[in-house]
Amino acid sequence: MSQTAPVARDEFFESLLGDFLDESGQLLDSLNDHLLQLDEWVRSLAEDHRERCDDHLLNQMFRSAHSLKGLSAMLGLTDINTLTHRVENVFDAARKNQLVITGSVVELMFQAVDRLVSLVGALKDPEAEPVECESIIGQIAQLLQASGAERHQSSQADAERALREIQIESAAAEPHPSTSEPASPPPAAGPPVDAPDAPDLFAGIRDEGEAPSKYLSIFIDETEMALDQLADMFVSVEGGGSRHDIEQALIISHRIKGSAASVGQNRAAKLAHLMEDLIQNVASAGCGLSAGVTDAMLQCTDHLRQYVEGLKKGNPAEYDFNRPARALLAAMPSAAVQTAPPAAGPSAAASAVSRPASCSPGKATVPDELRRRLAASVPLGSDALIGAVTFRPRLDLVGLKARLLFEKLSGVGDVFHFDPPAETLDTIDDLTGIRFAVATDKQAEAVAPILRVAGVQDVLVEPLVGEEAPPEASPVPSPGAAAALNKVSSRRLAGPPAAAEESRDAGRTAENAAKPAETLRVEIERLDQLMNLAGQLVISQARFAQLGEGLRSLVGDKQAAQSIKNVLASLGTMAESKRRSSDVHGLQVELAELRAQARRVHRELEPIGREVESLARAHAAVNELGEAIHQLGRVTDAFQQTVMDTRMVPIGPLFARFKRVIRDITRGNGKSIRLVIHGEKTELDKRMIDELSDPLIHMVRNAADHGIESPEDRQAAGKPPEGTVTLNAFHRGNSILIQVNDDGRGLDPESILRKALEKGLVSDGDAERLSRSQIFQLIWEPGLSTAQRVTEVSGRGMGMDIVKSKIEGLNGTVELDSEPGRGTTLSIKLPLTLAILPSLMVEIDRDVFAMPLESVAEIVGIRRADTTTVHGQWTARVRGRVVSVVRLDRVFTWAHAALREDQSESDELTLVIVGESGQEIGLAVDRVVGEQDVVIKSMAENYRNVPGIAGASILGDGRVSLILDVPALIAMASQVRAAASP
Amino acid sequence: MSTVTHAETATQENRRTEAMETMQLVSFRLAQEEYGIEITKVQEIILMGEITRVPQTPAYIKGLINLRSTVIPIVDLRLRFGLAREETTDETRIMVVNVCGKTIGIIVDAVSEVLRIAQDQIAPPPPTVAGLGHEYLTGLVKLENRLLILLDIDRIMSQEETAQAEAAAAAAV
Repeated sequence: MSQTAPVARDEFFESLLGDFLDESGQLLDSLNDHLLQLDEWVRSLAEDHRERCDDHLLNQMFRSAHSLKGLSAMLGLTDINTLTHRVENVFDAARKNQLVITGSVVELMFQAVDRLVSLVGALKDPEAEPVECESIIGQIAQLLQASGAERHQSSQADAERALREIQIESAAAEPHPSTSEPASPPPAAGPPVDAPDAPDLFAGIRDEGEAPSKYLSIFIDETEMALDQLADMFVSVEGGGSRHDIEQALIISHRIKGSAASVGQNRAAKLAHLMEDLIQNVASAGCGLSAGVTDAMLQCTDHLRQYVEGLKKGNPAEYDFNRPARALLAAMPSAAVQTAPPAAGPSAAASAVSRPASCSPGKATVPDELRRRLAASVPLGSDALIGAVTFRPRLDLVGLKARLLFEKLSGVGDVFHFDPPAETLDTIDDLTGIRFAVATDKQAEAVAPILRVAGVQDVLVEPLVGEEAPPEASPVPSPGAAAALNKVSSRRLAGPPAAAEESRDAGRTAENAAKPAETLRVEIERLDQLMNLAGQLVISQARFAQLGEGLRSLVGDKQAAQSIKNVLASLGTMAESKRRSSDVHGLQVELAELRAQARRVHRELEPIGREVESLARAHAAVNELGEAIHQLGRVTDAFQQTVMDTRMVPIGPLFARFKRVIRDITRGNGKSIRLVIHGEKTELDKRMIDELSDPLIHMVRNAADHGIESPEDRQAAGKPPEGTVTLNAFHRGNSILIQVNDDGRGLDPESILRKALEKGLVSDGDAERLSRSQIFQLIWEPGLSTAQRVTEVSGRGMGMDIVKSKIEGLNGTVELDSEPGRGTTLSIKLPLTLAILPSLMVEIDRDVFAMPLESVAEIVGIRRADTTTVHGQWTARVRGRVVSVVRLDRVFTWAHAALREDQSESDELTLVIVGESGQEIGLAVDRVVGEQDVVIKSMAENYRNVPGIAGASILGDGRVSLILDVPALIAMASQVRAAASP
Repeated sequence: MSTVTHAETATQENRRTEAMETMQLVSFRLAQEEYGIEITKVQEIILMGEITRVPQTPAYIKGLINLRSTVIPIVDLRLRFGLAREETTDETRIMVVNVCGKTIGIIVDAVSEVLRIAQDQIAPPPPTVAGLGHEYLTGLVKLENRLLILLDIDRIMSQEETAQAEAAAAAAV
């Protein structure tokens, strides 16, 4: 089977695909989560399967599968669609009691979900292996057949109905059950237009209050986008529209429906569903998008937009969708009349105003629900009027007329409702009327005449009062409108309490619901680029700071001082000559000389004066520059921090994935393991989370598979039969620690050593000298696995070295600590972000290198006399430990000579100790420059990677400095050692 | 070349043919020889600055420089062609060129001029050119009173792997 996409893979499809990947990921996550719950439930039952499973759970899973099915169908992803359809069938059968949920059913569903995950994964990676799902589909079919639950529930409409049943069931507490629920696409007969006694189309449907705010914000984000597209489209195709347009409208409506349903916004989903129906009918009727349809759809988008606005502000659900829904039903094309509700009857006086398709005689009315809704928004402490105006049919420049009315009303008071929205009026050229609400202390009778301008057919104005005091129908100028109003108010009094109760209910949940954060979907590449720019800014700022310093030292007053010295000297000569001569002639000569001297002094002093003056100004300027650079520094820091923050995501979802891993393992090996998760809110760089997934899976598998003993063994060892694997994430200083801990048997040093000897990883002689922690370090060597028997999940002996290199690839380190009989802890230490590396800057032979601070254990100064040579290996004693001293020029091959001229060996030696305990080396450096956050620049971008070098960075003075790859350096050093020793 | 529409006038046609047959070169000097690189490959020409040496690389890789916050490698073309090492002079320049999607700098003795030559001025390279591998040459350009060696700059870096292996072998000895 292949993924066939009837929708061309164009830009639009790509954008949809992005949404799909996002949404499907969430749906599959929730399916997995629910399956885990179901699994637990099944197991708790043991033998007795009679007990009824949690309906809520099954319904939720059914809904997830259904949403996924809809989404995949929309994109033409047949494989995903077929499989989700099957999964949906299973849950449907289960909740109808046609299928008994057993362990094997859950297992099958797990497999199906896995397959779906792979299918979705294959979408991201076009080169991925094709995913086979025929067999699983076959298995599900068999299952359904065996239980007799296989029904011909294959049409979309059937499933839709099934979905609606859930909604009705979940609203079973409603005093008015599904009486008014018109099934659609083929809606049951029923008064569709908003005649005063029209039933609430949404009576049976309630929103779920528990939608997580994260998903809700995604929904808001997406729906807004979809509404924009939809509105744009309808505005541009007004009255026409190609097949492509209609298809697009269908897709977008479906998408809104899907995402609304997935966050439990069932009423919005229902409206979107009706929108979809309408477009579907239009499409099958073959007529274009008539003005009526376009209008109704636009009205719906407006309403949905307002509703989403409300959600954004944290007060959702109060929204009444009846009006747009009726507009939709009324706009059904005549070809669909049999299935669509009958066209507007005479009681349709109160039909939606901006619906020219309905042929109401143009009486001005205000529908009840609008009144109710607006009553809630009357500005505090003021009276308000509500009203409607209808225009003569086919009135020219009707938009302008409406605008005029709006202006007039604005003169009366504060217009807080105007339909259609005032800002759209200029573009409207077909309008039957307007509705408005205005906060004013004027009487209705006074306002009505103002609105009676040329072209206006009917005017209705009445006071608007709050809900608790239902208004008496006020006298209105038009008798026709009054009649309609009477009906309205009579309906009000007899109105079903259900609706009111519902909206109150919804209001309550709305209060509880946290206000969702507004989100914006951004391509990660853009964030990378932003990060890169932030890095450049950091470098530039450092450069500026250095230049500023240089300038400050330059603005000394050397020249001025020299000139002043000259002046003093000539003055000195003058003074001397004065004393020597005594005769008159001599005096005259001396006087002339004196004048000449004085002139010279003056000439000399003039430029000095100017220079000193400008120096003073320069001083002030340099100080200001310093200020500015300092300010730039602060902004740069904040900017970099903010950019970094935008890339941070909590590790929780990654941790949650391991629930499933643990479950699979316990199923496989009969162990009983509890997964404890701490610190799920700890945030990491998005890229880092992606990279961490594989190594963590290895670690968790190892812990669960090899670490934790069988229940019998555990009890024998005096431990509780249930083992515990703990995942923890927390900040420590400038890094993040992630720990995987188990309370199992711990590592056996003897067995590791034996394995290492077998594989020739250590020599016999070395083996004797190794400390316990040194032995544990062997676990990272390629090809070492301590499992006695290789199991399905782990033990192929290619885990740990890959884990280590992956983590080192993230500039992190990983350490292992284990105590026999007590358990094992693996600690991953990672820098806060990938792009910026806190480093120790060192100078070796005039080259400045950056060493990840992460890998530096300590810096020690020792005297050369304290070093010795052991087996031809230069070593030093550092606090009782023996550390081999490594000189960079012995490890690296340099083609170009160092800039350093003299090789004078000072007696003092500075060693930077790096590496895990037991394998530490002391890198001899000439000078420690200091700590600095450096921006990592890839060398492979324009050249290639170089062994021993992790990358390059740019120093404050614009020079390039190399970042040492410490693990590689240690490995290279040991190679050199091995080559040196005989 | 895109197709020429009939609407185009004869003069335009002529100009076009002319453009097709000429190319622009940046010429530079290296050990008394004059070379040319297609101008489209050359990004900019900069002065020599401080170059950070890089270990485990062949000698002709002088090191890395910072070109407006991008780190690029610098190739000493003399060493690349096995010519004698020369001290940096006032005329020494780094030509920043784009090869195979990467940006690198090459050190040349001096940058001379930008030339426009006709295609028919290019002759195939002779079997041997003094002191430098045949493989980097695409041809010789005959100018009025001198010869210009047309350089295939893309091969400068693509030969890296073999050179690197040689360097590694040399280091192991």
